Amino acid sequence: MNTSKLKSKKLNFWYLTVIFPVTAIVLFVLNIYLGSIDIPFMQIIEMLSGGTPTHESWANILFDFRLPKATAAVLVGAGLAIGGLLMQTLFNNPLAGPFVLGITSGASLGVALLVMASQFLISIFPGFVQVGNWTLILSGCLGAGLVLLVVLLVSASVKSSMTLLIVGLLFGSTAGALVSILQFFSDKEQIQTYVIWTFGSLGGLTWEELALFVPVVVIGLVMAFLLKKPLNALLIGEEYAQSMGVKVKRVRVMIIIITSLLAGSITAFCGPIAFIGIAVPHMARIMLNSGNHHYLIPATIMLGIIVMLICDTIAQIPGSQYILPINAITSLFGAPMVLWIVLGKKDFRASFA
Amino acid sequence: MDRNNQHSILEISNLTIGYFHGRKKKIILDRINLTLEKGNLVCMLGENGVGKSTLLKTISRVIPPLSGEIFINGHSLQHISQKALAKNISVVLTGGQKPGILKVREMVALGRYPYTGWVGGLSAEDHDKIDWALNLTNVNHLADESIATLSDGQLQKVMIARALAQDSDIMILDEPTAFLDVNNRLEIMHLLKMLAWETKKAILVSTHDLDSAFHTADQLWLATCCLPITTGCPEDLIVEGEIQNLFDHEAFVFDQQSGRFKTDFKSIRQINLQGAHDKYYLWTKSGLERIGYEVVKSNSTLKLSIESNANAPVWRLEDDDKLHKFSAIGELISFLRGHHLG
Repeated sequence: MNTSKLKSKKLNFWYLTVIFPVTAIVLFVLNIYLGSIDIPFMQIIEMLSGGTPTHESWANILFDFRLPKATAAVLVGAGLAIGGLLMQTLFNNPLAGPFVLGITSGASLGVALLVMASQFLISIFPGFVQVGNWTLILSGCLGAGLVLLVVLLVSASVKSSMTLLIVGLLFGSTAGALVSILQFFSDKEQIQTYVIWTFGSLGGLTWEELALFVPVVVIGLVMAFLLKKPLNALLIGEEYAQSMGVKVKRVRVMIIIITSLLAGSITAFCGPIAFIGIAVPHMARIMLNSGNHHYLIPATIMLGIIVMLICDTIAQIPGSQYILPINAITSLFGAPMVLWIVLGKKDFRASFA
Repeated sequence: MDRNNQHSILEISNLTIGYFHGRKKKIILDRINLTLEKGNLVCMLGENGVGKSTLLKTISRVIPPLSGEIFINGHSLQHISQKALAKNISVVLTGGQKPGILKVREMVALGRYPYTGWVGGLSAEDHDKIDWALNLTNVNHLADESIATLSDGQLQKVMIARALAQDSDIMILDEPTAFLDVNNRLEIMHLLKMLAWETKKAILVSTHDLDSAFHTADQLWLATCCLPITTGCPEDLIVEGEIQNLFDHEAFVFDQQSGRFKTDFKSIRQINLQGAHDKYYLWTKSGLERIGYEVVKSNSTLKLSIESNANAPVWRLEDDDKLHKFSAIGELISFLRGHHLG
């Protein structure tokens, strides 16, 4: 082994143990420090270590708004990035993301049904449906779960994963068409509520909601890490994987369940958030110069957190009252990133031949 | 056919292979009875679509047999666990994905899959096997390169190294030389022969490359549509005319003398060829036959003699009384094609 190879191995070690974690922590603290209201940095530290701040309201801002929002950013970043990595490996496709299975389309349709058809539903069951945080989450989950069920049924019967891509695509356009029809028959206010949901939002989650959100994402991430060995085998194709002893169908179902869990819960809690899932795994591959999931999974998780925290910090425009739609910021960040990768990196194109 | 059961690893008895189209059976080959022996390189030949890949896939359990049995080391293929099967059969496929970012060593290490725990951590023995595979296939100098940087020939050797690291008794390769140039084809086939002989593995290769198969295979399997597979030592199969039957085609004939294919033109013209039996004579004859001349020893109106004693050979063509001289076979042939002599 020559010295440059040794160096890159050492660098990867530093990336995973020091550079990524420290960057993530610094960004997390920065994220909760910056906001529309100026809170002195030392006061933030004081509050985090259990002290009482000079102003009572600062504690409310920090604990009821900024911390939940930063936590959501961490969960969304890690979850979507891993979902993207899993899909890219399963489909051997650089443009696959956590949403290719149609899970998000299902969640969107669920939310659209709730928001726009609720008037109709209320006329049948008076007082039954109220558009609120929990009902939005619930309808998103139901929509995502329903699509997941169909995708799982399909995946159990098809020979090649490629068929699943087509099924996901069809779900996407069908759901889009249904949402259009719903919009056509809806009021301005209802459409606005739906459109605002599609902007995506990390804020507004309560600690009760996070108490459900955190374990779901953590379980998804742990399950992904347990799959790293078959994931590596899948890199050379399903037929090879099978010949090496991988139970391909079982692994495929596991990957679908994990991705759906992550993408479905994230969409239900925070709305659709684009490009993180596609762009971050590529960043991890390029920075580590490795395709080995043993390193890629932790790197993707940490880079996802880092990128999402950056996007959220930009979205809240420090010092102003406005919070930009997070979905727009991630797209603005992600699209050029993907373009740069696709156009610029020769190795990248070769990694998906 | 004499079988030494002590050395046979794979036994196929009364096998029928094919697919299900809905409820309908589509039989591709039947009455298959074969054995695969340790330390042998076996080449399977046959036309496209005759069922070579289907047979390989059935043996490696990618698709189920329609009927019949396959035994590996005496165990029925149907009842072997997937992990145990992976330790018995390794494959090199035609397609497959090419994860360019993976290092050669990582690729070969994937072969250790059935031996590692859930983490995929490699033991000292695993590392030894990987080094051994890299060395045998002569790609150890590429160990730290990315897959993306390899040539087709190098990549094929790496894929063979991966299969070797899997440490199975049987290695199955589906057209491993299909995309390679002549040098690489021969190199790969000789590598496989050496591996079969040295590691005592049974190596089964499907190929269209007749020439390499004749020069390397210990045994040939000839697959013909709707007939049982014929097996035997390559030389026997040539002498017995089996190869000829296999490639029964109007335009081509397999020449038992040279082991090459000839275009079966109606040779309407005759030519008398004289000269020392050296390379010039041989290839002049080949060239003449290519354009439809029959080379005869008897007298003919057309006479060709080669003077190849010097460094610059000369071809003299006598047509009745006219004499033409040529300094290359190409000149001679284009002259003959232009004048329709003989």
